[in-house]
Parts: sequence; C-alpha cells; structure tokens
Amino acid sequence: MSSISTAGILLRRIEYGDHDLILTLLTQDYGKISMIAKFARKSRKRFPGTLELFSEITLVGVSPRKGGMPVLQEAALKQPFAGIRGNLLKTAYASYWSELVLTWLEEQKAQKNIYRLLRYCLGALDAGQPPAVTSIVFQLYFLQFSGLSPNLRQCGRCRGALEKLPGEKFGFDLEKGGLVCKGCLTGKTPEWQLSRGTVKQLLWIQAGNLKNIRRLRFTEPAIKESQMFLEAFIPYHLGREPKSLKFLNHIRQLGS
Amino acid sequence: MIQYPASITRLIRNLSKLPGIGEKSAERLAMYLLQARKDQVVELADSLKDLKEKVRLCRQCFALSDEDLCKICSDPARDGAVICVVEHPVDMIAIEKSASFNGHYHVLQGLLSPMDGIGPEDIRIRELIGRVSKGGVREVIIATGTNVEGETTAAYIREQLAGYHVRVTRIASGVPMGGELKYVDQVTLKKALEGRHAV
Ligand SMILES: [Zn+2]
Ligand SMILES: [Zn+2]
Repeated sequence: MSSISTAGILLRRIEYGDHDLILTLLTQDYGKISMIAKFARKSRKRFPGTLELFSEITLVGVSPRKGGMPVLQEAALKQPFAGIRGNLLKTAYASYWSELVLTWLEEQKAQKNIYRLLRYCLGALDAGQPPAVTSIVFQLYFLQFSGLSPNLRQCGRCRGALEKLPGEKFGFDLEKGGLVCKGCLTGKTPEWQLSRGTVKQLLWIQAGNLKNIRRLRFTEPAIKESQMFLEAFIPYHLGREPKSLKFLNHIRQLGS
Repeated sequence: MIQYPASITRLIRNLSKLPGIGEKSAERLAMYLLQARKDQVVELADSLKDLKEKVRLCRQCFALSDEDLCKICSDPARDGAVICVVEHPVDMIAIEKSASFNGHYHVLQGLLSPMDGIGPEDIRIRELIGRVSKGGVREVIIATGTNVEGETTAAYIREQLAGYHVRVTRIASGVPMGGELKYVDQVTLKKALEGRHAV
C-alpha cells in the first residue's frame, strides 16, 4: 500500500502532539486502518469539519516511503450522520458498535460486509429508526460476519431442534454458543431467558439481509430479551466488557 | 558525543523530556543555564517547585489556582449567578482573553467519551449539579467543543439540569471570523443557517 483512495468511517480520533490527529477508520477497501492527519487541529482549512467520529468520508492516504503510519492527504465528507452527535442514546449505541469494530477487526484486512453493516446502522440511527432494534441487527450480523453466530436452531446439549423443544422459554450456554432447552437446564433458573417468539425473530434476522430489515417488528419484551442475550454473548466472546457498554447502560437507565 | 559530568547529563536528560525539546535543544539550554547568573537559575528552580507545591484546583470551579478559591470565584465584581462550563483550564483562559464574560466558570477536567470509558463519574459533572442545586444560579452556559465528545457532554449536562430552575444555554457555532464559506463544512453551515439572526 503506497497510496490508497477509498471511503471510510471514522471510529477513533486521538490528539497527537500540538497539531495532528491520529485516526482509526474502517475503510471500504482496506479494512481497519490508522492514519495520521497532519495539521488537522491547527488549520481550519486543512480538513474542515470532515474528521468527526462516525462520519463517512472519502479519503486519499499515502504511506511514507521509509515506513510508518499512512498520512491522510485528502478527505471529503460523504455522510456526516450528524443526527447522531448531540443525542446521548444514539451516540452511546454508535460508540458501542465502533468499539466492537475497533477491538475485533484486524488491521488492513478488508471486510466489506462489516463496512456496509456499520454504514447501514449509523444511517438508521441518523434517520431516527429505533436504536435498540438497530443494535440487535448490528450485533447479530456482526457476529455472523465474524464467524461467531450463536446457534439458535437447536438445543446445544440434547441437539433437539427448536420446533421440537418443550416449553416456551430457553436458556443459553454462552460458552458453547447454543440454546439450552428446559429439559437440559440444570441448577437455578438463568438470569435471563429467550422466549420462543424472540428466538424466531433472531433466526429471521440471521437468515435475511439488510435489504428486508426495515420490515422487522419487535415487541418490547423481545427487544429486552435480545438485548440481554447479545450484550452478554458479545462480551463473553470478546473476553472483556466493552467500555462503551457501561455508558450505554447508564444512558438507557436515564431514559427509562 | 562529549561526555559531560553527571549533573549536566542529568539536566539534559530531564530537559529533553519536555514537549518540543530534543536532545540538541536540551544541551543548548543546559549550557545556557550553566553560564547564567545564579539567582536567575535559583528563581527558575523555585518557580518549578512552586508549580507543583502551590497550584491546585479551585474548590468551587476546578480552575487552576494558588488559593483554595480562585481569583475569579473570589472576585465580588463577577456574577456568580452565571456559570460557563468548559472542558479544560485553557478553554477558560481563552474565554477570559476574549473579555466577553463576567460570570463564574466550571472546569469539567475532561469530556464524556464512551469508547475511552470516561463516564459522568470521571469528570466534574456531579459538582456542577451540586452548585446549581444550592440555588442562586440563573444560567449555565455550556461552552464545550463541537466535536462528538463536546456535544455528548453538553447533551448530558442539559439532561441532568432539566429538573432545575436554571436557564441552560449552548454557545453558538458557525462560520469563523474572517472565514470563507467554501472552507466551511456542511454540518457547520447547516448549524450556522439554523442559528441565523436578524441584522
Ligand atoms: Zn436440550
Ligand atoms: Zn474558582
């Protein structure tokens, strides 16, 4: 990579020295990339208003011949998603997704499906679609594209298919990544459970794609259940609690 | 490189830790100090020591201060019913230089940043609410930056103060003085148009 030209979404912005910014972007063609934007903080004309978190930009970057971090040469705003900033709940969700992308993805390995997913979900937030449902969609597809889809088709212990499992509520084995039916549940009742209806909706998302996601209708209890489930499943497989999840929980509590 | 005596090497090493000072500059500064008058060097050393021993945060507004209560908070000529909220002490100094504000300040010492794990407990938001809840505050002006962290912090403060009898305002943002419109981004222009006023 000597010179690149692509689109990217800004995930992270760190002040560097007196004048510069170090940016981490999820780019369309090169995956996650860190770049330095020289004089971005000193000159208003250099990158006017383009280098804000969650913005989609088109960019030109050049790798120095002697190695080191690519330097951002040009940037133009493609989609600012300006409806996100200034709104606590939307910012909290966008931060959570960005942190997942930042921690999970490898540097410079293109993942176009995750790029499209993030852009779609930021656009949905910006357009005022329900953040909680959008987050369920983001997390499910993100897991799927990362090869970590939870198995919701059968009980992970007795292997019984969902349609044949007794009861209307299921547990979930985070370690094995699968449902646990009533018959296989041992010990005390788990903290949270998934109703049959919720499992079916999650399966519908897993089997579908972003194009028909607008038809999705979630009931309030199904949102709650899915949220509990995914926000336990992801930290478990990430190996730690994402920092922004704490903030998200705090903001959700304020709202309720 | 010439081998300096240990005391000079130590000074060079310490000076070169300062921002913007490389080994060469550190060496030049050390040589200058070596030749300078003794009282001049002692004055410099004392001021460095004082910096760490005397400077603290004002107990009311968290600005840098030599006293328990800073100069602004203890000035009877300033209006304590108006509080201007800023991120860092340097922002407060920038507003002071503009000579356009005669109230008190509240220095948050940071901004909310979900991805860095900086939440409301990590900056001085609770202390701000405390000042407002004591009464006597008419207006809170939120003067954090317009980046995502600045806007998030402003939104959070607005929410937290919603239950109090206080006017909460946000500084205006828009086209910079002497700026050309073609250099202004679309988000700023939209805000500038929304915030237009009669002339
Ligand atoms: Zn079973
Ligand atoms: Zn003070």
